[in-house]
Amino acid sequence: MTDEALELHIAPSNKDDTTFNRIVLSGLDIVIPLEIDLDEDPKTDDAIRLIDRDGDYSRVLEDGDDDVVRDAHAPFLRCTFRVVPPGVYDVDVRLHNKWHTVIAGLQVTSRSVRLNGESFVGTNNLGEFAEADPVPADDDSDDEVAADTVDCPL
Amino acid sequence: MPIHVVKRGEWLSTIAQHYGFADWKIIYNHPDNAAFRKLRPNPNVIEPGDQIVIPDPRAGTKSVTTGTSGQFRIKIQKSVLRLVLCQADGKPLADAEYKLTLGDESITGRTASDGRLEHTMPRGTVEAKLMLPDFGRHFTLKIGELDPLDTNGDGTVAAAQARLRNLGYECGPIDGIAGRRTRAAVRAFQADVLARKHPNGLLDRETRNKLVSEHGC
Repeated sequence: MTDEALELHIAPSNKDDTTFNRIVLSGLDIVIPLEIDLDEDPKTDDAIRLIDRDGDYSRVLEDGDDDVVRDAHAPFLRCTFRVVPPGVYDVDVRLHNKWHTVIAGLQVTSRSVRLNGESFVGTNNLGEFAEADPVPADDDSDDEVAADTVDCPL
Repeated sequence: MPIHVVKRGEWLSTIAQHYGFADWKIIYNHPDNAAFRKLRPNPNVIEPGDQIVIPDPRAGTKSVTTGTSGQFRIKIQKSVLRLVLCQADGKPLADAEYKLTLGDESITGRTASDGRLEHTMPRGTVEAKLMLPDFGRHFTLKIGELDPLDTNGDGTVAAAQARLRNLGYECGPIDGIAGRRTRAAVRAFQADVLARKHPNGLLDRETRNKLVSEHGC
């Protein structure tokens, strides 16, 4: 996310007309698998945090949230962070009530998520995801990569 | 009758208030502004340089009794800020917390089920701040700066860029230059919304019309 507020040009309206301005939050849904009971402490809820380095965005998902779904085939929670704006993020997990960074420098653009130059495009299959071809880091690329949801490894 | 040349950040209501009219429709619907109405069918979306005929104010008569005092109240129509917030997939951003600063007024609320956010604006409001804390977003809203998107004038590209940005297609600065990022944004819009298999990145009539209808104005 940028430090500055995004400037939007807006039309005013009147009480008796129907003029409106549609504002679409661009961003990606990012799915991160989290091993169930990573800290082997059943008394604490599993939790994962996505936080951007400017401190403007910080979201915590815990077991039981709507966006946390148990994987049907593996001992994982699939944690979906919705409409994540472009920026550079760290992923933290909570172990014994302390946050630990497990992914540093996750780069989110309007079209893709990149880590160490590797791009992750939309798929629900972690195996396919692991085989995603690396692409050069170029935020201004005109390549039209259609990815509204991306899976990231943990 | 004087001619008003529209400046950036003005719209019919602010112009009407400037000339002492309580209702902008008195100006907009005046017969001498027929050409303007045809050019600008939406009175909220006008362009700097537009020329508007300002009618002579009509004198009203009121009977008063000598030796008494009375109050005269003028009802001035207030403008409204009306947004519809959506997610990237087009679904409304329902029940989302927002913090809105309109002039000196700070408002906290939640969007409606259709993503709608609507507030009356204090007189003279030309800028607002919108924060969506759950999504880590903050916006500066420049009220009255959305130019019409039509085939006339030099503002077409800038008007398209503003709508593309509002609709989540980042196209770089709103500078009126159809550069690489703008063309890429137009192509993405054409592919997503017009379902074109071969988007060309050009602001053709269909693209312009769809930008207006998707944006809402």
